[in-house]
Amino acid sequence: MGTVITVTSGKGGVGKSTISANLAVGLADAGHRVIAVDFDIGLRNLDMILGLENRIVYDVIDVMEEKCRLPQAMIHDKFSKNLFFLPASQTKDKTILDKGKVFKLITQLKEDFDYIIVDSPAGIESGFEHAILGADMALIISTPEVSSVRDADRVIGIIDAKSHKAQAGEEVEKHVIINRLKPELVEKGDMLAIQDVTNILALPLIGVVPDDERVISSTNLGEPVIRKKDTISGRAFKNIVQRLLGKDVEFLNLSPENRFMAIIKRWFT
Amino acid sequence: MTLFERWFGKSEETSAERAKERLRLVLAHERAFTHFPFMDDLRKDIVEVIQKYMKVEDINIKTDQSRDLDLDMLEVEVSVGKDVKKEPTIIN
Repeated sequence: MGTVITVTSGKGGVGKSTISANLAVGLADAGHRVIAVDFDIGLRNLDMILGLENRIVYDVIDVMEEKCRLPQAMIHDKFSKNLFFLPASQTKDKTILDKGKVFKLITQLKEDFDYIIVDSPAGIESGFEHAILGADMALIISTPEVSSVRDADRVIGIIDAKSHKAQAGEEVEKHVIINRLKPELVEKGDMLAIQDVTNILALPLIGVVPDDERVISSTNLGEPVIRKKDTISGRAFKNIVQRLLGKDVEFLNLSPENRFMAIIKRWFT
Repeated sequence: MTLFERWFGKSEETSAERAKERLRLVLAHERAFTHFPFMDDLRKDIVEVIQKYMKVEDINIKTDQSRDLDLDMLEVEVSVGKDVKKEPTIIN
């Protein structure tokens, strides 16, 4: 029976799809059977980050409406035999989805895969409800900015109300990922520190991803940064993958001088 | 706050500290509202139940939530308008 990990946030544009893609790739490269499902209906994105946008024939709505069989819609990753991808639909009205169909799909995927990474839409509307419905674990993404932290707090407050697992009396495991941290700004007192965010959200931290230009270039290429050697964000993602697998990994030292040294080192290697 | 504090003391507060403080305040307020996430459904149910006994259209439901140290309060005020037909519409 697979584990469903829903990647979510309150605010949009905080990096959910990028994180979903990287964690899916990381878990697959660690030898697990993984499927990444884009649940951001109407706003397909995960396909480009994974570099699989040219292979889409059917999408997740087609599967749920039984216009095709599940394996027909699943797209195989270019590099990993363990990784599959199920795209969001681009055009259809998201209100046609119903909870029964969503839950049926998730249950089906749990039988075939070790990890199901669900990329949730932002916000707390129906799309979010569908994405969180079958979750065993929720990763809440926030950048260290007030609007993002505030909206993350709202989402955390309603996860248990919307998930099947919580309604059955169990708890959805919740963890926070802080994305796009700028250690230099934190140092200057112009950005919320890691501790500030975790104190406010009152949830365990599973990863901190520093702001890294290589994430942008990787997305440009459709090659998740976790597969790039010597990137600080790639290392951060690898660490999160290890923690998801239950290993106790130390957090990266992101203090400004350390990053500076890392950049210098990269020039000489 | 003295003029001195305003000029010298406060200027040492960083923007991150302000952010922390502002978040703390706004979230204390907002969390009270996510504490009863089922409010919309509850409203619908209340309307249904009332309409089961009274033939009224303009049901107005006002809710107020507050949190004390060890007590969650949920106040629900229902007004049913003027045109109340006393006969229940459904008799089971």
